[in-house]
Amino acid sequence: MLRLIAKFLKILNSETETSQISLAFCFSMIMGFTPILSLHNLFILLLALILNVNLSAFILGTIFFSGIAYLIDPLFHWIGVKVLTASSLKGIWTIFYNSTLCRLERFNNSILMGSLILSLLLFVPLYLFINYLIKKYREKLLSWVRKTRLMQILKANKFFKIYSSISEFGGEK
Amino acid sequence: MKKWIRWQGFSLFLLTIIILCLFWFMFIDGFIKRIIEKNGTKIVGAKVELDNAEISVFPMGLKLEHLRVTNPDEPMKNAIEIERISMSVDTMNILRRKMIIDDMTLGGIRLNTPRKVSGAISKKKATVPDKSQKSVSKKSLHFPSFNFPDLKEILEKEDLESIKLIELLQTDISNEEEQWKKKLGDLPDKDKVSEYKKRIEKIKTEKKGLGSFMGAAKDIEKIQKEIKSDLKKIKGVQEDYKKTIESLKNRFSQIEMAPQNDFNRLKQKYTPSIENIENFTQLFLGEKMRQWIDTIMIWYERVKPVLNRSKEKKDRKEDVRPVRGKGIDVHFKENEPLPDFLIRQAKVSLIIQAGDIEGTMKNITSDQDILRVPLTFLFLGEKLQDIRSIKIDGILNHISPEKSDDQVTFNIKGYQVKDVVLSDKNRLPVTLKKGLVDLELKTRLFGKEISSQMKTQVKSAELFVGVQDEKNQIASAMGSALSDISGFTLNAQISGTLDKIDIKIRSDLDNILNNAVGKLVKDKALKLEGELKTEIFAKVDKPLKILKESMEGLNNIDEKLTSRSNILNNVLEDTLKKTDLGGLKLPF
Repeated sequence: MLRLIAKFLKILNSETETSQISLAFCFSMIMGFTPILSLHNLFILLLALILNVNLSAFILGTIFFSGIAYLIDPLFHWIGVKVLTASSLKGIWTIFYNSTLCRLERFNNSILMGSLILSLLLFVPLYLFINYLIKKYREKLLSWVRKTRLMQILKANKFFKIYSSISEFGGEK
Repeated sequence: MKKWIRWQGFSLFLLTIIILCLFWFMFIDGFIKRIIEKNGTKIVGAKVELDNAEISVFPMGLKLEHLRVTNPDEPMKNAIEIERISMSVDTMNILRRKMIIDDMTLGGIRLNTPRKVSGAISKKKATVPDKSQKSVSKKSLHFPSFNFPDLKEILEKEDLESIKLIELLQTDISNEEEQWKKKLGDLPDKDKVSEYKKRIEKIKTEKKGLGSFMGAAKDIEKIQKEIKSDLKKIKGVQEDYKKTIESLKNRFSQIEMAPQNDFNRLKQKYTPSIENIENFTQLFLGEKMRQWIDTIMIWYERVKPVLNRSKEKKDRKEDVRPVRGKGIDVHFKENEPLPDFLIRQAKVSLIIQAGDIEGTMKNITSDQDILRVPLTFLFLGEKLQDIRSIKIDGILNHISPEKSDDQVTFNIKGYQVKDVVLSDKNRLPVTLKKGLVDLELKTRLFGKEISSQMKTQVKSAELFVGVQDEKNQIASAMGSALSDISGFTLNAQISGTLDKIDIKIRSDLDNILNNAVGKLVKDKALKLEGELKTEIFAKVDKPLKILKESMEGLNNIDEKLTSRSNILNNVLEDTLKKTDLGGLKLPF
């Protein structure tokens, strides 16, 4: 875990493309919010591995968003029920229901539908927001962070050794 | 972004999938085994164990070996033990999350097998229906004692209500008599009348002049008022007295009927009921049959939720609260609706003590309302040990759960029974030592209403009757009659609702027993009745006479009241007549 955080910090503090980190977070949001053993998550995993997104950010993000998902589980359920029981959408859901692939996806579950819809809706805003945050961080905070007392303490302990070893021997970009 | 595609990522993805598949193949069997054991134990409320589970992918199927389901009521026994289960599953429907088993084979099923270790779990599931809640209605038929009680013993043991009532009324009469005598003492008596007469005489003798004449008139008027007041007092008392007498007379009339009531009560208590004598089969087998039905009902209650899942599901929808992280599944109309779970055909091989019974069950599902086809079954066994043939077939129709219609027919031919206890009553234990039984049972459960007919014929029967009291004429006669029987029929009719089942059992044994002991019992009963009546009336006769005399004694008070009233009236009339006061007529 420490190694994972160290890797992430290294990338955050490097010149790595911000979009690689942001996209990793967005994929991890879908993975973390929705039930892990869903069919679409196989596709998300495939995308995360094939597309050149930051895997440390993806794994950390998945853990983070899974925790958030547990907290806002009632919201997912509420959204899911509203969407699945909307009379205007009944026709399309009935078609989906009769499709084997969609049934395998288990789209008719309130939590899955609610979490998937919310994560898809937040996908682009989150991408832009994280991009913005990383840029601002690198412009204004990075040099200050490096000089902070906290960073000095961190440098002295095991965590920094891991951080350094990754920096020295190169790691994932 | 310099490079968007990371091809080594694709390899990693494939590797992940392969690892997952390998993991699945390696551990899925154990996983399935644990799921069956865990969920089975939870549902049954006692240990469910499995030796092995094996999943095959092409074609999709599952094999289970040596499934053992503990009887929750008897943890040292397995309710059912199945040697092997194999099934082929519809692969496409598995993807649609529907378990459609096209063909299932259950081989080597044994019932009630012993266990080496207890199958009880610490938290026993409290789903077993309470026998006391849903039970067969028990009619008040009591097994007769065959011993006629001694008349003296009855009368010594029993308190007669008549005597109690007589004693109570006697006490009340005495109290009333006392009270009325006291009241009589307070009323004007002979002395008072004499006083009135003296005062009138005095007025007559003292007339001298007009002044005294006017004074006399006033005095006479005063006396008249006093007499009228006394008369009014007597009249009031007399009316109260009449009411009291009326009440006592009513009680007396009731007491006159009390001996008859005493007789009726004791007759009912001590004379053997003719109904009991005429329906021995009900007495012999009624209780046993109730126990069988109770057991069947318990198992039916266990199976019922499985057949009626759809109904419960709908009922539950109102207040459903999703488990955290699980949510709820919203269902839509299917083009080709299928239940979530369905066994299209199950071939069953049941091993009983007598041999093997083969059977087929079709359309096993808890969603009959979706499938629109009822569950059917047929079990056949021929040339078994001690049984020529056995056939069980039925339809469990829960397409419309609120109008469920279950029909089962059970047919057994040439069943050689041995040592079947028909009655374990100490007074008349009866055992069917051997016999050849043909039995047909047709049962229908429509909604909550049950109707069932059972026809049994027992041939080549040998009955053993263990009469303990040889001196008891009735028990001896019955024992003798039963011992001579070589065959009999037994018909039972079960009706009512699941909450209250009524059983009527008839047999030609009833006629045989009735012929053997019916007259004897009736004669004895009549004799006892006659003697009982005479004794009761004799015992009550004397106290009743005394009571009557006491009642008559009260009439004297009425006579005395009337007499006093008459005397006072006479005095009053005298004062009203023309009174000779010196040739002048009084103005009153």
